[in-house]
Amino acid sequence: MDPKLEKILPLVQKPGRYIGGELNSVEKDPSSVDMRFAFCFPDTYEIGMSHLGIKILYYLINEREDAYCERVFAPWLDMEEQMRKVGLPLFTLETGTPLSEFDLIGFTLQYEMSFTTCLYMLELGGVPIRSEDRKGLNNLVVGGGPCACNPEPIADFFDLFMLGDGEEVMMDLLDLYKEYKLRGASKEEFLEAASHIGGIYVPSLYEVDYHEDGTIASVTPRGTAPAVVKKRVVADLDSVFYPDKFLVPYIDIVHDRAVEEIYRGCIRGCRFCQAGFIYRPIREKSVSTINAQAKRVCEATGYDEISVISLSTSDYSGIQPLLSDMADWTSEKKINISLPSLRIDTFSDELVEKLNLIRRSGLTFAPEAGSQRMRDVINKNITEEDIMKSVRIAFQNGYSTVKLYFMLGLPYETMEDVEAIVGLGKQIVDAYYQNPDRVKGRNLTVNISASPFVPKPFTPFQWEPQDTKSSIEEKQERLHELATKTRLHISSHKSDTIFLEAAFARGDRRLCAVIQKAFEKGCYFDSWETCFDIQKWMEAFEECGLEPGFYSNRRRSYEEVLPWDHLDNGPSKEFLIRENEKAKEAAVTPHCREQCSNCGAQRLNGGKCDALLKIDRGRSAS
Amino acid sequence: MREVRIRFSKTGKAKYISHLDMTRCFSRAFFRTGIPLWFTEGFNPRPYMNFTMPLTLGAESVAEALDIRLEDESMTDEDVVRLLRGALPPDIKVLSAAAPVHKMNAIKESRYRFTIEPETYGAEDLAERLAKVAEAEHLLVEKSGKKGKKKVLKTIDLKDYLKDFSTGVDEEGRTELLVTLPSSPQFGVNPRLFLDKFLHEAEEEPLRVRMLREALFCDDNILFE
Repeated sequence: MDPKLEKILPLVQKPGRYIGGELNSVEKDPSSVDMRFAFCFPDTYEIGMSHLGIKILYYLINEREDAYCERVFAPWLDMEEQMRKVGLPLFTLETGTPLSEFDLIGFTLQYEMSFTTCLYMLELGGVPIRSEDRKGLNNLVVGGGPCACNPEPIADFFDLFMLGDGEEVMMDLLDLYKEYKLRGASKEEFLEAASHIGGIYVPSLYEVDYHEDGTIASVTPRGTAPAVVKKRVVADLDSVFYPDKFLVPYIDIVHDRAVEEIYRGCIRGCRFCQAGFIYRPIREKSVSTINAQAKRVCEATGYDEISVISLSTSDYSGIQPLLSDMADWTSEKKINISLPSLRIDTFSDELVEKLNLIRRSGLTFAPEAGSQRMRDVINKNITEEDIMKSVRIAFQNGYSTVKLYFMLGLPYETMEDVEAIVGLGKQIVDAYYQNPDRVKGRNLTVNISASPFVPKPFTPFQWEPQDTKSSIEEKQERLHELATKTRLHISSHKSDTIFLEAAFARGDRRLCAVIQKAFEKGCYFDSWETCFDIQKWMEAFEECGLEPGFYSNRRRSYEEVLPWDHLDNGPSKEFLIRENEKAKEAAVTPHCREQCSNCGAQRLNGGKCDALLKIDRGRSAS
Repeated sequence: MREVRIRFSKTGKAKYISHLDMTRCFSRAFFRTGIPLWFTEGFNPRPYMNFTMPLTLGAESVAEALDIRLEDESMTDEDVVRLLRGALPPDIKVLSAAAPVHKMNAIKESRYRFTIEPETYGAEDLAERLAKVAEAEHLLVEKSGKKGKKKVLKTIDLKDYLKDFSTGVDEEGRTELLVTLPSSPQFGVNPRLFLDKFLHEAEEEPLRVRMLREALFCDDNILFE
């Protein structure tokens, strides 16, 4: 260990964040590989280590003999202070190597408010933050993850982005990089060649022109770069790489458990949900693969909890057999299965029974909107009856804590829709006390969380304005006014971060200047309430001559060129327009297994979609 | 059910792992090995594990102990050592497993070895300076403690806790300081507090220090087993 590091570790909180050496971490001789890859998560160790994607790609890259992937997390402020004091650059956990010595530096972009933290990590690692200032092929900065679906606000800092599923495109990228590095090629040659790999977007190869009013006139590819970059889609989840072990941290992290992914995509088409669209088409893993992988990971880690994850767990076509198969070995070993993302209308007695096999905690549901009209606008496709039926089942089975997620400021929302949130909460409270079998003396808690809505690209609401700050505040006040029942707890997001999140989500390249300026003023860790400083951000916008409202509160026309129009993340524009028009009428669209609504995402998977398969199977069976 | 005392070392990177995190680390290691631990009874059963007094964060040790209870009595001590060695991170090493001789709370003292790479003085010079420090009439330090439930600062005199104190230079030319400090649930002297005071008085800000717990003792200098 570096003596400088050893000297400062006793002076910081949680030194366990900075030492590496966890169970199942990968040790290699760096001099024996052709490529060194620093995998960066732009947040603290506890958050980054909870992320599944980093674990998959870490082991995937390390499967290769010619590459060594190491991890880097953003040091917390106390550590940063000490590192700067002793002159220690940001380093990897595996070998303590400074970031500036790596061939490739990869960031996973999970949320917009982590953009400045990427710059913070580069700067602390001695790497120039702007792509144009990194001349050679070394220190190639790459990004992927959900925010790469519109990476324009950070286009000046990254050399390339990977769109869609990372497993295959990452391997293609490394193959190409190795070839060009060994040949001594220039960065420009490499980037042009990389732009021909499916799913790779090289922003410097695109020229963006603007109209006087700030909207985009055109996006023109240079040289041989493709006019539209299509995201990559892994066709078969049964054969794609999945790690047989996970890193097991010493210190407590946010999600400290084994994780098993069961499918990608979502059949629901809730109109506010970006994940529901950008991960399409549907690809399911088989029950036997899931069961085998889950068992292997539990054995290799010693975790006593496994989380079965997807965008909507109960929509997995084999959920009942899966839970039965898993219960065979988990109950014997006292392993708890957790099922996040349960839909309220699929919550059944059988499912509760399966959950009861294991340990019992509170239940969380997401009705998202209080009134039926509003749930139809967002295409949530659940009725009040569904909700009441599910909570009654939950109460009959002894649950006494229910958490409900709602959104505020959805498109076409009225105050009546907002008031209905509290109305629904009150009905749930009444349902609990009407249950004759409830445990006497045990009181109900209904936690209602109402977060402001942020319109995102590749959703039917991508053209819609975000609700203004004053309107959101008015709605929040109304909620608190109405929630007089003692068992009803309302928490609403008070921070200004969501207004900036909205600007970045649908931002263009001109925001790069704002992000850099804000960073230079000391903005990073912006998703942390204690670090976020709206004042500095507003100054940065002003100094760049830009207005956040232009991005967040402006309605776009269907004709406007959107900053991400040259990136194809699955759903077609025609489909999204159709959906937005239906939203205006509060008309619902059935889910993909009932009827394919031709979203267009299956194009990227050779016309295949597992939701469609299920329709065919159903027909041939009947 | 059978009680087994596992002795282990915690060195290198593991010195930054807190006591609470060690508990989790061991419980997962046991899980991976399949060693049949006895679970506590109650609403939320957990594997029974009883550790020695927490080691100061940043200190290493070759004398840690952990008591477990085995559900399956046919499993031998050797099995436990072998299985657990394969399941722990590299910087936590199992040294032995055997039936406990003393009770956990019989531990009264810890033997520490401090190894210091000086910045200002030569190694021998510093050894002498540290020995000089020990000759002072008083060595007062503030120690955080509890009075009922309240946290309070107490002043203690390190002069009272210089059992088997010696200084010298090791084979690699580093300054060494050895001392046996009280470490029972009722009263303990933090080795970092001790060392910092001595280094401060000796006017040295070293490049590197190592704090190593070498042994645990019961009353009357009896080695804890």
